[in-house]
Amino acid sequence: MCKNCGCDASKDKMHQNAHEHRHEHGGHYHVHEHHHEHESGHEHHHEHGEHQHDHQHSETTHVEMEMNILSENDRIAAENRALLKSRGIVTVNLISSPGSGKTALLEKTLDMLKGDVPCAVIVGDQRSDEDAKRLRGRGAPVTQIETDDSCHLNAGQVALALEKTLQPDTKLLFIENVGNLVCPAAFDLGEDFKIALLSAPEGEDKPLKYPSLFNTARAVIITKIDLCPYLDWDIEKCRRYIRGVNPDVLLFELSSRSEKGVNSWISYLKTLL
Amino acid sequence: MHELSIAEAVIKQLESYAGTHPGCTVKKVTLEVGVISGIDRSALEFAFPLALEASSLDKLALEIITVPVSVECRDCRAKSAVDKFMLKCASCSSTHVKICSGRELKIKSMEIEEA
Ligand SMILES: Nc1nc2c(ncn2[C@@H]2O[C@H](COP(=O)(O)OP(=O)(O)OP(=O)(O)O)[C@@H](O)[C@H]2O)c(=O)[nH]1
Ligand SMILES: [Mg+2]
Ligand SMILES: [Zn+2]
Repeated sequence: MCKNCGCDASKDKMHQNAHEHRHEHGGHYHVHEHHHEHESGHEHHHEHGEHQHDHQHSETTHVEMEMNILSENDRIAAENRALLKSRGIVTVNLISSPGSGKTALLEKTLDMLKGDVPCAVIVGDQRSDEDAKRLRGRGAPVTQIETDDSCHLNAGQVALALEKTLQPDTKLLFIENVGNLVCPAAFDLGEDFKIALLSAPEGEDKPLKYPSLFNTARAVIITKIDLCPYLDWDIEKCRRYIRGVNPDVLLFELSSRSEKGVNSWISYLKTLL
Repeated sequence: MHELSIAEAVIKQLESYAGTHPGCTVKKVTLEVGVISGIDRSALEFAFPLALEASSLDKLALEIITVPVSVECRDCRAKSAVDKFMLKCASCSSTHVKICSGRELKIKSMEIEEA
């Protein structure tokens, strides 16, 4: 038993080697006390028994953690990813602000892939199954997740939905996240990659204002381009802003209404399989 | 706004630590929050005491270290800090950069007290 924190020191090599390992072992705790540092400079070679006698009750002990806050979510996401990989399923996590056209694009996408690529959909909203209703009847199983007050899907919710959604022949899984430009980006669901949607009416500057999503996305889809004639929409500026936060990102520009640009999106999806 | 779920996730990990380390009281937790992690510092500071109250832990201090965005240039290899979010090498202006920091959402350390 480690006298510093009561943990089983013999099982925890980090105690002997705290500094060298701090960036490699997210899941472990390692411990040192401040006064150790004062006694021995920045080196760290005490034995655990030796400070037993001078250990005061009120003393606080510094514990290096170096772990991800969302490590529990990440662990489940890794399980989802392994499961999907083992079944040869490509998974994309679609993220955008509410109403950017995620469901509209999925409606089109399912229609166009029907009979060709076996798809499945998991869709998250805080409440209602409106989106699932729109997506059903297009040849793919659809599971609605209601997140209640949560502004994003998490890996645990997706893990439960996977069981009932995946079919033996599923090749492509779409996860439509809760409409929100910030929060879903932080939660790994086990997808192969995230795709951000940005509808033209939202304005060109969104990538700059919400970089946490736009710089983690593999592709950005500018939607509702049929509306551009009614907007002061500067497509060049938008492209520049997107590349500014994510230089290598793939860009699609399309309208689910007029179907302009949808073909290249569909072709891209087929290259993933 | 998922600062509350972030606060709850932190507290869950602290509870789990306390559970496996009987007699230890967490006095302070230090987090590293990247500028582009999507987490707002003041919202997290607001949410933390609320989440704490609903937990099995006693009052404890929260320290948040804000981690700025830094990039490594793929062209000239220079490492630089990034102003705002236009990801650009400060040395050669190339936009072929890799993000090195700024996405952190980490529990860095704790101060604990033993009974
Ligand atoms: N003009 C036009 N309208 C579109 C297009 N795509 C979607 N819309 C409309 O935009 C509105 C919102 O579209 P949805 O597909 O529901 O958006 P969403 O991103 O799924 O919304 P949430 O799930 O609530 O976040 C609907 O009224 C759509 O008909 C488009 O390409 N052009
Ligand atoms: Mg929708
Ligand atoms: Zn450079």
